[in-house]
Amino acid sequence: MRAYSFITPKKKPLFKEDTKLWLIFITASFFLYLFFAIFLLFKSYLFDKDSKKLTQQIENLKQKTTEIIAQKEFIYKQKALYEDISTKNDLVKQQIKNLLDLIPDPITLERFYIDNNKLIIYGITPTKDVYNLLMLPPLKSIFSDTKTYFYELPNGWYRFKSENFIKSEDENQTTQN
Amino acid sequence: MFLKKFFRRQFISFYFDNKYKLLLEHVKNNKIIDSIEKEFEEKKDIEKFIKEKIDEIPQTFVSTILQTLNQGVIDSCSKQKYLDKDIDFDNVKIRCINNYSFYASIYDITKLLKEYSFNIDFLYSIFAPIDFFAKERKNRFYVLVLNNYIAILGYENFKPIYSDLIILNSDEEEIIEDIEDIDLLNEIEEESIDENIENIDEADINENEELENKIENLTTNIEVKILNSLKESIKEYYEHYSNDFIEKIIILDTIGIDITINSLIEEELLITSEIENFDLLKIINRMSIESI
Repeated sequence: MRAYSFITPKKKPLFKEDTKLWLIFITASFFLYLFFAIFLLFKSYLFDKDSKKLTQQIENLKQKTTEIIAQKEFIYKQKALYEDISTKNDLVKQQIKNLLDLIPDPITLERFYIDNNKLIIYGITPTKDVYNLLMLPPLKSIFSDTKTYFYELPNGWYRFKSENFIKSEDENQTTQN
Repeated sequence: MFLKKFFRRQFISFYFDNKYKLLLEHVKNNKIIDSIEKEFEEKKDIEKFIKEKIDEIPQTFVSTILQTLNQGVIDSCSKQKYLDKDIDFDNVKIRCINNYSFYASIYDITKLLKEYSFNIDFLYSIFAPIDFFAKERKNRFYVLVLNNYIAILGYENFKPIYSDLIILNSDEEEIIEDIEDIDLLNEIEEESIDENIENIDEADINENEELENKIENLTTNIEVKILNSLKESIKEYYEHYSNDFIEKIIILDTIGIDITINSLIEEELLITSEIENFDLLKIINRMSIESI
């Protein structure tokens, strides 16, 4: 390139003054939009992260809830079992108490066997009459069927075995029929 | 800058030759997109036009040429060569191109820059567009023709060694003085004076009219003025600059001169010549485009 000119041109701006102003505004607004977009993206990323965390927590809680429900059901079952046992124990306790109350003073109780619907008592009575007078009437009033077996002892007293049965409702119904 | 490629730039070239001639070209990526050519009678009109254009596009480059006499070409860039030619080295501005240089008076440059109310970006010597355009450079004489003056640039062995700026005076008497040596004029003058107008017959009148027209054409014709100026320049060239023969004269025509000048030159100077249409404004703009 051959430069023939005696003078060199001054530097020329690419834009007019008002165009420059417009460009500054447009660039500034573009950067604001860009900044806002980045901000939104960042926020969205954070929300997304939180949401994933929360979803995970929800899943964990659901799992825990399931476990707790299972535990609860197990506890309910245990409770029901406990209550049943407790009731049964109370009942047995009451039955034993009743039975012990039932035994008159002259009669000695050796052992007894209680089942759902039967009571077998082993003991010693001075006479058959004592037994028949003092013990048999309350047994008869409670049980539907009572059988007593006496064995005479060398001293003249009697060892007895009393078998008492309560008829279940089914049996009752069958009998009635 | 990389961005500049995508911006439209405006190049305005102008010069004064009877009236202000202007060419505006829009350029993008060094390619001309469109152009406007205009002429102005008044300086204030061209100033107004250029100022408006500068306001429209900041990337506007205004170029013009220096048309003063205190300028020329020296076949060297050294100070000594200037001093040898009696040129005040401190008062001229020099633009060195390869191993030759263009110079112009600092005073003239400053004056021209102050002359216009707009900012001029490129200011060229009148000989610069010729050198920029010149392809044949072996013993060639280039003559740039404008309405008011001609600029002559002489090359010897691919290097410009001679330059001259000749103002073509429009004064009628001077023109006649210039062409006194043309026999035809003398012939007509003698005939016109000697003969009694009342006595001449119609045939003579017609003949006289033809000759008068021919002379009228010749005396006012720019071709003759150019021829005479060229004669003087070639004489000076052979006397002071070079002993090598000029092989060809190339006339760079900006005004539309007559083709007869070729035969006139060949007859009078015995050198072949050719005319080339020269768009000075376009060349000035091209120089500016290539400078950026």
